[in-house]
Amino acid sequence: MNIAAPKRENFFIIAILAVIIAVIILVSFLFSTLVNNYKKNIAYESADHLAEINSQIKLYIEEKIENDWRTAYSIENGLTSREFNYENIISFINRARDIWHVSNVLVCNEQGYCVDTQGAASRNDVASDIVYNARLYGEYMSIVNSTITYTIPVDSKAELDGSPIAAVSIVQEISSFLDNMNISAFDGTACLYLTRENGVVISRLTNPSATDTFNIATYLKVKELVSLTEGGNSVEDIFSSQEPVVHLINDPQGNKYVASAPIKTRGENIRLFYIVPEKIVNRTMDGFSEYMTGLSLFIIISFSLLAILAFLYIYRARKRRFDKDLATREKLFNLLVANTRTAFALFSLKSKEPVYISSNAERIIGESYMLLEKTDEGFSMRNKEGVRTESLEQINEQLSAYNGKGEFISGFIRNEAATPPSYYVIHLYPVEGDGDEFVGIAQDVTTTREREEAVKSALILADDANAAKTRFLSNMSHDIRTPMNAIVNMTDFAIESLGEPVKQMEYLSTIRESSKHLLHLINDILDMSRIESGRTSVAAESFGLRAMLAEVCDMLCPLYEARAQRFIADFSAIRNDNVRGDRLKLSQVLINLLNNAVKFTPAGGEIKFSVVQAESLRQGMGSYCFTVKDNGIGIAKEDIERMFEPFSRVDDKRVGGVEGTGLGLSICKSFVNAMGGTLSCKSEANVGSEFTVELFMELTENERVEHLASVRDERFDGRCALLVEDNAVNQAIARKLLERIGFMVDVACDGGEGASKFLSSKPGYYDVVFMDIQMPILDGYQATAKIRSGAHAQSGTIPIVAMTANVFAEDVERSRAAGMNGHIGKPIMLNELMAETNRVLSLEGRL
Amino acid sequence: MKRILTLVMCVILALLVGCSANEAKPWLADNEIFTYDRVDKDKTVITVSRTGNIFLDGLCDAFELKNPDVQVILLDITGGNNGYNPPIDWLKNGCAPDIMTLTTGYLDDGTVKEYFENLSNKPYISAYDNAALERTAIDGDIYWLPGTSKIDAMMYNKTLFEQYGWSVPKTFDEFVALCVKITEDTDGEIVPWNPNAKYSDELLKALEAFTYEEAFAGVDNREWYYKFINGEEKLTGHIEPVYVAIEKLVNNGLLNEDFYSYSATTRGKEFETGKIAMINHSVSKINGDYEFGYMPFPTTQGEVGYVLGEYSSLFGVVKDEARSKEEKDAVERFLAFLSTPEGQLAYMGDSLMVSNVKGTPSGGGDILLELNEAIDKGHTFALLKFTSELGKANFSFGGDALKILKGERTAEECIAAADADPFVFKDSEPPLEVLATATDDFTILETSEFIADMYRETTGADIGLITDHLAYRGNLMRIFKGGINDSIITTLKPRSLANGSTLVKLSMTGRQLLDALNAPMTNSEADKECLYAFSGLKCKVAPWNKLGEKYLLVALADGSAIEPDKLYTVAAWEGTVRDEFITETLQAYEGTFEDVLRAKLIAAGEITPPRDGRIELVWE
Repeated sequence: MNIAAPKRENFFIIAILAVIIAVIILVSFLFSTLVNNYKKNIAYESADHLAEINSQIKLYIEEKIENDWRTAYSIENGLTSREFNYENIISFINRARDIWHVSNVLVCNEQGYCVDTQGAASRNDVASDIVYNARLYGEYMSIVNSTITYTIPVDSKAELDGSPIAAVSIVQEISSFLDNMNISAFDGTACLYLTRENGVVISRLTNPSATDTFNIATYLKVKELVSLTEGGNSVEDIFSSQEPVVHLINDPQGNKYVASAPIKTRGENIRLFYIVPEKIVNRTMDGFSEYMTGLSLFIIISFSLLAILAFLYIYRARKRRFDKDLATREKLFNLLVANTRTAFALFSLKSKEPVYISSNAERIIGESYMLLEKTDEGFSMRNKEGVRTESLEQINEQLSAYNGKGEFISGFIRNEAATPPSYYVIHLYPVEGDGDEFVGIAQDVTTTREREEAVKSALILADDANAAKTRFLSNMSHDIRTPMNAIVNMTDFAIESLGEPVKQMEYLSTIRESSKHLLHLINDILDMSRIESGRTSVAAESFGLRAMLAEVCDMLCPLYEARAQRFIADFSAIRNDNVRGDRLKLSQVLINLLNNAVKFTPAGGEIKFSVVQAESLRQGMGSYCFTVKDNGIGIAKEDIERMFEPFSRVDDKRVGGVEGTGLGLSICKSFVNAMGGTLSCKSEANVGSEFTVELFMELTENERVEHLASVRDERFDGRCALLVEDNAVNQAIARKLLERIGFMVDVACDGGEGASKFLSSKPGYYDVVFMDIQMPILDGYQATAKIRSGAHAQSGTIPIVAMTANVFAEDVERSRAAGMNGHIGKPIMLNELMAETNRVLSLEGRL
Repeated sequence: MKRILTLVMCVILALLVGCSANEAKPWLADNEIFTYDRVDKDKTVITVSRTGNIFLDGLCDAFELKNPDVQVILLDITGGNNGYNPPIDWLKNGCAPDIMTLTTGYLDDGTVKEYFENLSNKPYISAYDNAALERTAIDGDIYWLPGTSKIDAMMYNKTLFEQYGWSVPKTFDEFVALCVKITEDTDGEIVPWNPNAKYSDELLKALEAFTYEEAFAGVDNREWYYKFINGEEKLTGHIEPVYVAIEKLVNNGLLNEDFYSYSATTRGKEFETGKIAMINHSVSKINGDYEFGYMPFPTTQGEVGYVLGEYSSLFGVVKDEARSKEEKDAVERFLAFLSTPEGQLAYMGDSLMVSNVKGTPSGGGDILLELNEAIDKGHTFALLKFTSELGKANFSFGGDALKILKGERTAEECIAAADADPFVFKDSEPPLEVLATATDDFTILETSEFIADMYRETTGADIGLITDHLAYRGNLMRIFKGGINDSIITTLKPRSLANGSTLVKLSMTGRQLLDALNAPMTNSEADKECLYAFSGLKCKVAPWNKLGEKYLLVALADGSAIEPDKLYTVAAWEGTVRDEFITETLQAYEGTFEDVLRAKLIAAGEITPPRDGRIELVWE
């Protein structure tokens, strides 16, 4: 399983989320900054706006106060300009009140008596204080209970109640001019206060919902103030300012703007406060701000939603893909698990249950549940039932030494629950360092174990085979060196005894026999090599069976006669003599069997050679059983099977002096098998052996059977042969042999020369061509092809005989396929040369 | 270990909560009777104190009617005198009520700002007339809600006047002449005028009113006054009319020494019952057998008299961090209700007052008709107390009148003495002599018990009695830890003791004693729920039970039972035990209350609250 995939998936999701959040935060920050800037600008714009309003109100009030002062002076002037009696005074001040729009006019005499517009004359503390203060301060202004009293001392001859008028006061209700102010500009939410310099409210123009206070300073002291104009943020800063200032009150119940301005009077200074809710003032400007804020909010929300939707889409798509991948992986994993020989498990020491166990666990370890535990005694495993099985015992015995660090690998553990019992190995390693989680892997190693066992067996066999080969080579060395010893030394003896023909003949005969033996040995080795390489091929030629058997018997005759053995041949049971098959291989097999019988039958013994033709159910086929039976030393039962193996030779002291390659029977068996037959052996030590060859051969009729014997003694005098041979020795041998049988020999040193000589010769000049195969320029096949394709009159008919060391059946076949008519193997045997030459010439009608 | 620590913390927390809970409920104290009204545990309780001639019952009743979840406990805090101001001690010792009502001048501005909440930003502030607020403001902030403005004038028994053909005097001389005539017409049976001289401001009001036109009204007089309190003028050459008036009162027998200690309550009762023809008083309706009239104070100059306008009370909220949210809310509701016309009318009751809450109609409109002429003439004045930034006056017209009455000084000597040392400058007041020291704070009940002990020890009686927590002849005071001087002794004197009354040793049977305990001497039905504090007894008392059921167990101090027929000697102040419970007055002891207490304190040197387990209070 690919465990990295989920991590990448998580990283992807986290990365996408992080980017979305970062972008949202960034966009929010930018819009927040933008909105804050809007608000800040709006605040300053609003502050300017309020400061302007406040200044207008301030100027209005100051003008009103100044007007009242002028009114007071006008009245004072009127009072001093002429004489008054009580009625005149009342009338005068009433007219003045109406003209100047004041609330009341008080005229006080030096005794503290006063009259007002109502005409009531009284002596009271208020009037007394007016006059007293007028004396003390001259003109002065007092503010009591929302009224402003402007007092001017009067120096008049006019009297009131018998005493000179001392002062005149006009009383103005502050509300009389505050009420004229239009504070409805802010939906009537504005509050206007006139205060003393200590903040005490002397008059207010508020709305019912306004927070009222006795002292503006006290009210403001508990609020957070932010100056929007020049000056500080404290209440003291406001009251010390001689210019209109505007502050923002941060109030949890709603921010407010407070505009303040000092009102200049000729008496007690007063201060104007204008308080308006921020949201009302900012409403107009807030329209744009709200629009932008709304737009910002819309964009942010839209973007966020889009981002979230995109994320969800991507996430879901990826999740679907991931789930699909996961399901596929899981399916694959389960499939793999079900079909693999490895079981997986994840254990947690903290858990009382295995975290995961693959479904194939029971198949591999014989348990569907395994739990890894750690106790003071070390690690151990148990099954669900806690039953101690032999497998668990094996595991826990090995686990007890495990310290939880690094990988634990068990040895082979036998799964007794499997049929047949299987083997597995457990791997265990921590997921992370020395953590509490462990991965467990149980691997079925039955095959491995079997392979190892097989390898062990094979090694033993190979050792045996190697020993056999060594033995064979040793034998071969012995067997080859023996005739070679004779050839080498006898050749020297023959050369030394040139003057002694008898001795020389003796030596040469020995050389000839040794050479034959050596050739036989080489042929056996080559046959075995071809058998092992699978290149054994079977020829199909028609031949007479009895004739072939006679030749075999003739060949063996000298041998059994030399050992005084009784040889009985019985071929009477042969009904069909003409057959098609591999005459050469069959005769080779039979000669080998008979030769063995001669060799392993003591002198004077008996050898029976019989052929029986049985009934054959196969149409056109004959069933033949060839039996070679002797009463020789026999073969031990345990050696019968090994006897047919190549390079084996029964180690029998009894036949220590018997020569052989150890390949004969193996070659025989292979040849018989190649021909579709069987070779069997019945033997009993010291009783004798019986070898039987059973095979089918195609029956033929009216076919010409070649009889070498009929041409055996023919000579070829007067005939001309073209010998194509590149090797000078072989050239000389072949030339000598051909001349010995009467040929005139013309030699070509390679294929090209050979083909040229033939093609350039006169028609009828050459009777036959002897063609070596492996040659420079053109090899034998190519040269033959050139001859056959040439324009020479005999190109198609001239007999061409392969004369080569390539002696196997396929070599013969290939020669024929190349257009050659015969085949003579090297070393060239004279009789074979004569027979083959006869054959090809007779085929050509040249004989 | 953690569990133990947690347990310990829980216990400490529980103790703290328990302590704070106890502190938050003084009306459930072990040795104090805060109120005789049963406190409803399901209600939020707030306490409101009154000092001086302030009546809050109507206001509190109306508030409780509208706020059934709140119970108001009214506390009487003795007003004190020039040398001792009990409300300050209540404030300083952290036992002041939630709301304190005082008349102007009781507390200096610094004390007010230290102990009272700033009300400037309260929503109900705007309900008040701004000028009234400005008058109570301290440094531009509101700590006091102005009560109603009341008018002081001369009240007279119209029935008697009609009966005897007496005319309402227009001038001061006519007033003096009338007083002489009343005495003559009634052979002294009817006192023509009692000035309530026990309280110095009361006689001051009358004297200023009598001479206002001549000495204080008008530009010149006010100029003189302003200069005098700034140390720029002398009394001599200006204030003589006041002393002339004093001399006339003295010389015509209108002032006597008894007036300086006369019970205001007794005075009121005697006026209501026709024993006094005229009293100077804040104008209010009096219902009774007689018809009463109202006239301005007659003046020594001019024919239109003067009336005094002043503020009846100030309402302040005492700072208290421990006040619960519910209690704060109840306090706010109380003040908000006070600031409504409805609350003002409930507060004013039948008194002629002018509310400072906008939109509130004046009370006693028909009464005003008799004073209209003076008011229309502008003859309304504010009391001049001869105090300024320099300090307070070192003289008083009432005090000087007493000296003249006693022949100790002539008018001229009094004026000269005042001019010689006119002000008690700030920070120069000599400390009064400490006669004894209280080692701990006394509760009111413990103070009463201390006085009862004093009665018993002075007389050698078996038992001492004094009504506790009662303005009429009982004890309202509590002694705070520290020195005790003559001013404190004066404030410890029960009000309304009859002139010339003394400490007496009575003989009472056991039955009489028990009956007396269940029927304490009170001035009115409203006061009768009170209890006697005692000495020589050991009692189990349920203050909130009905009268007659309050004493659950009464025994002698040694635990022995009271024998109904056995005579016991009981020490009490004369007039504080009903006559029907007295078998015999065995002995009267010379000396005023102050004399007796002074001797006791000097003898003791150091006093401690009598926490001897004599009383077990049962609150259920």
